[in-house]
Amino acid sequence: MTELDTYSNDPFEFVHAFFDAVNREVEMGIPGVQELLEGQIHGVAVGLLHSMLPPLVHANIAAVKISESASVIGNSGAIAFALGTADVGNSVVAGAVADKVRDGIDDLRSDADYARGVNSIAW
Amino acid sequence: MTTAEEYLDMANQAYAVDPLRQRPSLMVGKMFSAGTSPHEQLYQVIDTEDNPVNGFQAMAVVPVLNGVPDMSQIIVTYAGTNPDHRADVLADVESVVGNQQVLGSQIDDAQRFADSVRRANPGASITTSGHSLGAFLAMLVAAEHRWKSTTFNGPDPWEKLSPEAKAWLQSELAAGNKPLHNYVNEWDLIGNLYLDRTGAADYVSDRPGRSALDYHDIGKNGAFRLNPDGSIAGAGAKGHSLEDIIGNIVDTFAPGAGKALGPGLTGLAGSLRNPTFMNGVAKNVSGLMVAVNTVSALVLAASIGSAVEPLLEVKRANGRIIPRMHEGLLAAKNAASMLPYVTTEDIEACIEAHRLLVRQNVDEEAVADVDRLVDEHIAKVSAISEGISRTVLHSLEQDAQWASAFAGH
Repeated sequence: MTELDTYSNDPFEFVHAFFDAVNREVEMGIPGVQELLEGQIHGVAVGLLHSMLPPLVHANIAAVKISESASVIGNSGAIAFALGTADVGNSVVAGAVADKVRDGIDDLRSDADYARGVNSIAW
Repeated sequence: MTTAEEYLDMANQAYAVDPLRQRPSLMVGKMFSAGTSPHEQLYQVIDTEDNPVNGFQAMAVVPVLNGVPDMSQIIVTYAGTNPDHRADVLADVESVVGNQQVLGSQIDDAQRFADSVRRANPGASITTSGHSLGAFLAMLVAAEHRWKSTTFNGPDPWEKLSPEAKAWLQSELAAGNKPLHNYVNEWDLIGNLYLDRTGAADYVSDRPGRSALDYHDIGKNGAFRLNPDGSIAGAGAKGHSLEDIIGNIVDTFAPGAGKALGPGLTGLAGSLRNPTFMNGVAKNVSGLMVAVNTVSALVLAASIGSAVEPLLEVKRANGRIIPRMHEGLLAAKNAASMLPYVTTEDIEACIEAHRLLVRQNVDEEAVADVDRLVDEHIAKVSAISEGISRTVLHSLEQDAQWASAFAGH
């Protein structure tokens, strides 16, 4: 509600009130008007900040999540392929050595969640 | 004049003497054509030998001119290891060289067969041919008899030659002659196994990235391409070090792994060319065969080792998460600071209000966990890969020691 909204419909009272308001503005002086204006503009600017900053930050976070997830998932596949296609059935690598190789590969494959980091990024 | 293509076809035909390769096997009296028109030539088999105990096969053929066998020019051709059986080469080697009765008998058989052909055909001009181990035998027999040979992907037989054969070869080479002509695919492991001390090697260019057996085998899509005139396309190439050749084979299975396994490959190449390893028939034969199996073991090491690069990529991607989020937040703050009437406090308050801090948008502990996991896995993969390489080298050293003891050196 503005100050003018409080004015009476009575023309006489309106004129009184109007001049009272003008007098107050004159008493406050130019700096006061500026502060009033700046306060209003700052409020608008902070509103703009709150509407602008979060989307900017979230857009970057999403870009990081998408691109690094693609890299991690792609390379996780390459790791799984390398370990999954290793042919241990070779006569040079046999017996205890072959067992050790198999155990090592099984161990590597049992804990292969390399995407924990990227998955923890918030959308 | 017999073209290289004809020799290549004959080297391939020699495998048909093995009844395990072809039934019925190639027998005396049979004819086959070698080369392609206009250089196609009909040949007739005049003698064969098949020793099922040590796997030796050979044949002697003559060209058929105007329907009549020309007994004045004979080509003695030796077969290598049956390509169908190469998957289990180590077992073959152990059965061949592990038996003293059989030890060295391939060379004895080759010499005996050549002598038999010579005695049966006095005055005939004899040349030899063969592929792989057959090429090794063909070069050895040719040098010992002062004959010429045209072979394919044979390992150099210098260490097995008699002093007389070596002296003859040296004098021929000094005179600018090249009695032994061994076409060697530049990337073939077997043909490049030993240094070219006989001067026989004629390296043939090929592209990297093919399979080990493609570089070695003859026949369709094999190691050699032909020119229309029956000569070998790409002959006269420079050749490579054994380390590079093994590295290329390993890279075929796991790109980049050859470089990663560099020290191991150098050690392997050194073991293969160790003079101790080369002394005696057993060492040559087993060296040939073990090399093929060694490569497959190294391929296993490389295959596992190839997980390192994607693991490093995961680590790099994981390592970028938090810095990139910080950069994004800073960039957004800088953009916000451009707004008039907005203070630093306003921006910080906005960030707090909307929970925009990096730690509020990613689980930093989860990122650190992945880093640790990747480091552990790289260490494990490297340990497995190096363990296999060490096992291979150990196996080669044992083989050399065993062969040395076996040969009485």
